[in-house]
Amino acid sequence: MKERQHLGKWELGCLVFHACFYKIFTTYPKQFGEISGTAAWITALYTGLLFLAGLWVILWFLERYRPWLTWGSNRVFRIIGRGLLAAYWAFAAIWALREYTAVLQEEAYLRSPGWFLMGFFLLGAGTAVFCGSKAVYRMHSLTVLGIGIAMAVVAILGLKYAEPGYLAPWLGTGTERIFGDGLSTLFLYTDILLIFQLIPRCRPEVKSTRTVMTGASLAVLWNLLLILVSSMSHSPELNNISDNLIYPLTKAAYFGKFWSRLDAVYLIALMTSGMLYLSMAFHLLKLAIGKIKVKTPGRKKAALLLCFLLVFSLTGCYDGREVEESAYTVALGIDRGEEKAYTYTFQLSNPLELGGNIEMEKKEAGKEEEESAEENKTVTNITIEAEDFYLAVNRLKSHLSKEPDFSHLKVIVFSKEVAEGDILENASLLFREQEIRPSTNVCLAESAREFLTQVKPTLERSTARYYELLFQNRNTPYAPVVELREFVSRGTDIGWDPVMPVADKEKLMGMGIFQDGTLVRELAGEKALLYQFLSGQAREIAVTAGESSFSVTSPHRPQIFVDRDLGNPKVTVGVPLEADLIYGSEEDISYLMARLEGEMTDFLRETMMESCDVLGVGNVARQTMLTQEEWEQAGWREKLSQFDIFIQTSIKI
Amino acid sequence: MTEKIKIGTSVAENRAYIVAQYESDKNFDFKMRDFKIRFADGWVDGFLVFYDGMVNKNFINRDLMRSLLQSGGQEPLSANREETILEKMTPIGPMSILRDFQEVARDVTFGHCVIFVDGVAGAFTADVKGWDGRGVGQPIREASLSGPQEAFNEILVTDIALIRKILKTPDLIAENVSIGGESQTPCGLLYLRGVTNESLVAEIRRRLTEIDISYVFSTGDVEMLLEEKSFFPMTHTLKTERPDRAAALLAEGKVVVLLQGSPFALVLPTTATDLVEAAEDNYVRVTEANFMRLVRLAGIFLAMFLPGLFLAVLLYHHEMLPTELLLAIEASREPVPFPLVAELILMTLAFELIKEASIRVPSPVGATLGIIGGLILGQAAVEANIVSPLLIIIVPIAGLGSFATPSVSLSRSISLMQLIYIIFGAAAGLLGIVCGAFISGSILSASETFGVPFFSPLTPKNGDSVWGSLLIKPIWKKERRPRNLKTQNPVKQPHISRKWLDDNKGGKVS
Repeated sequence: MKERQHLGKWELGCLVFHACFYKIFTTYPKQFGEISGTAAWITALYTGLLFLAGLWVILWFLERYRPWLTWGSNRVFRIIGRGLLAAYWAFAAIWALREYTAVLQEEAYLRSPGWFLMGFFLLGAGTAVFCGSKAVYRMHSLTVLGIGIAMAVVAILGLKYAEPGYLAPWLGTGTERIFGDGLSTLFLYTDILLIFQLIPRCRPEVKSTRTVMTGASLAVLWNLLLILVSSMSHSPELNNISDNLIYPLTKAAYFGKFWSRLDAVYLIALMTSGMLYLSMAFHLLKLAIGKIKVKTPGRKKAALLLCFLLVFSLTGCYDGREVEESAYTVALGIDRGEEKAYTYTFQLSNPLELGGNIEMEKKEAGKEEEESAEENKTVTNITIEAEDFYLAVNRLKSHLSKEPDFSHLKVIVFSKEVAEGDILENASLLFREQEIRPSTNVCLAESAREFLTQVKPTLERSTARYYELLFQNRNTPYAPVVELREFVSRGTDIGWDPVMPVADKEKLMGMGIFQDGTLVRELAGEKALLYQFLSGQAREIAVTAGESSFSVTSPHRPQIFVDRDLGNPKVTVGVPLEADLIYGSEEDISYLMARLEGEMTDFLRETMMESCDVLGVGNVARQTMLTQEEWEQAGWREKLSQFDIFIQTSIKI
Repeated sequence: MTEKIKIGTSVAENRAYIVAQYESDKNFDFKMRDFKIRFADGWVDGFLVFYDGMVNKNFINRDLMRSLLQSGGQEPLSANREETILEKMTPIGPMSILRDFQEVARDVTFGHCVIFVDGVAGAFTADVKGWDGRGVGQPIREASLSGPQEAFNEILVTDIALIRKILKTPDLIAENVSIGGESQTPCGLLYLRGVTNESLVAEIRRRLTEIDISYVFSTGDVEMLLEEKSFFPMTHTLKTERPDRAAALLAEGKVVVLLQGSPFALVLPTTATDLVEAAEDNYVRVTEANFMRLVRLAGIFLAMFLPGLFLAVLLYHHEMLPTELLLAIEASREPVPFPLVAELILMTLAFELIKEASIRVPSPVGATLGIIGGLILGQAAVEANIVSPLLIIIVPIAGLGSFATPSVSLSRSISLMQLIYIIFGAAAGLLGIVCGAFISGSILSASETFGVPFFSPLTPKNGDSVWGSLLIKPIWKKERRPRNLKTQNPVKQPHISRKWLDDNKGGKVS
């Protein structure tokens, strides 16, 4: 009896929470992506509520008829019940092990075989089970809070990419799919079966109904939050490109200026969750089977295990790669090829020119150094013609003594020729590539190869830092900042068209506008400046009006109203601006307003005439639609040119 | 246990037994003195035995020999000799009568003087201990800047007295349990009556009395004999050399075990939070103490995980580092021929060597060790391209972290764990580290000492605040004793202990 008493309130809550939440790391996001596209969050909400209601009924019933928990007094029932539970947990454990390993393999351990990763999951979970039920329960209570917080942090940091418009159309792929297929997602909550085995093991003072309901509700809430944020951060059309909706979120959410991704947090949460779930499943399997005496491994076995691990660590495992054995690509250029489809230019950082050795060499080299000053020595450029990116990487390997690594890629440069063709396919391919960050910047250049070979940072020693500072600089008035994920997401989206800054060897100025994934036109710096105002990215840009000069900032994004009146369709854009008077008189503010409004209207009209929706007007229109189907059939792009445009600026001084 | 041999009334027989048992002709420090005790109508034969060097001979000469030879003029030979001698003839306080030779052996070897008198079926034992020992010195391992500067020494009674003078209550009970079949080493079992959980005391008493071993030498031996798992990688019991700390923990409701000959007190049961508490914590302002506690916790974390994590990130997860740092590391690793694991293990081993050597090295030579460690291992190793400069930062940070832990035993445990995490990190990167942490977490969280979970109140939760156990509360907020000890009196002080704040109307004095 003593063994049965140590499950406390907190432990039970954590077990329930984790059992309902762990699939967010594995099948959950994929399942929701498949079911209903944009309306994933409605499905998540609806399934969650349905699950909670069902759970409450079961708990209410169990509280009234407590003997049911122990399968009554009928021996046959008990044996069947326990047998079914044992089969369920055995299956669940194998399934979860497979899923966790697959996700981990896909995201961080590309070269490791599955059994190797499984070994570690089993080692962790097995130890907990050997240490007894106390270890399983207490590890839950120790770590589940951390996992919850880690995922909440991922979600909250992911919110900076959130675009509420992506939640529309409100019923996604249609009601039948949400409410019909949505029911199948209820299977994601089947692990709640654990209550049948664990409630009888609670301490007498534990109010099991309340605890289980709290744990389950929090899990549903967390699931909902993550699904919501992930559906807000992609265009619905992107679901076809990405398998795991949560992972791009983690890859993209990085800690500001540290340039380091949240991968560590996510991976640690994922691995801990995997071991926790397996330990729980094994423990419940053991409970269901009943009297099995598991011998704790003796000292000899433990020593053997340690030797096994030692051997592993010394042979250098599959994914392990020394830093100096990798060649870090900092920039990638894609041009149209002469013989083959593309010419790829890989710009690799040259570590020896950055480290301490450079000083000594400089002293020795003396005058020669000055002569060759024109060349950028911190990087090496390798140009390869190939049919696609992967073939190019293959060929790159034969040019290099080291293994190419793309995890620190800073910028992808597309030539205008490529941009006029199949840029979107290329970008989507790179977006799916595991090593490349979705937050990598993209830009256009006349010739990517020329741009990369001519880059010569003057204010910083490292070219990688030069790219970081240049392309992430939100203060640049004449060019927008665009990341790969944003480009791909808007490129695939019907209701939004991407833009891309234009760079040459001296400056970053102007932008290209796209329609349906191909470059339509290039705009000069002045137009890009207007785009900055319209998209809410402008920071203290000096504008003159009349006799005065103002420093103008757009504090947040404009409000767009779409009127789809058949006779006279119109778009009204409310642009909030803040202006500081630099010199002159405040009276000139009306000139400023008139000037900006006029120029912005011209700019928008011009782009919309070419059916380019750089502002995401379509995204607003989408919110008036009910289903994805309706939206796709609306023919939004063709209608764009018919709209009348009104711009209303409100300037605060 | 051998059968007890009763002491007879014949002094000659007793003498013969003693001579044979103690081999007084060979044992040159074993002293035996025959004399006669004066009664009103005659003299009675007697002799006394003691070990030279263990007794204070002044007491023997002045208070035993003189009074026995001279004082007993009034009582006749026919009087009860036992009573007469004990009550009327010996002016010495700690004196009692023994009935068998085993007890005699225990007392004589512990610095007592034992007197045999003809016609008495027993022996008188006088506590005249006078061996030379160390005085009460300063704590060395648990030094504190602002707390008391007293530390336990090797003498049990002095140690108990040091605690008594802090707690000053008759409720402090010090039971004597002798351990060791041969050595019969006195061991003090201290607890607070009315506070400490009685079944805890009973269990510790049971374990102590049921130790069947010839000799024990230190509290370390007792610790090993008491604990359930000796091969546990993390220290499980708190050993303190500070009487003030032992007293504070007694007041919480814990049990303290002291051993003759050992300057450390064992505190039972110990949880993880006790191990991270330093002596200084209770003597400085709460904010300072908490800051130091956080630094210490960070130190423990770094000491355990930093080298392993460093290895995991550099071998498996390059994308997590800022680009500039990664490129700098790449450049610094370029001239080094060894793999990172080898480098790290080499440096960690070198660091452990310095640590170990610094304990053995006599202090005048100690300065040289710093030069060897700092210059030869640091600078020269880098210049010779044996290790990369970054490791010269990583390994010492981890080392400093382990030194920041308040207990030496914990610090060693952490060094061991560090090595394990290096192996796991090298084997599978973050997955390895997480697996290692999960394994150690499972083992630690499942373990209990005397029924108290090692991680409580972190897990399982028992109603005590987790933050309250990780951080330090001001003394007026420490109203309850830890719940995991299930003390008889769970409340240490009333809700409002600062009565001056109370305006007698249920509010606060402004």
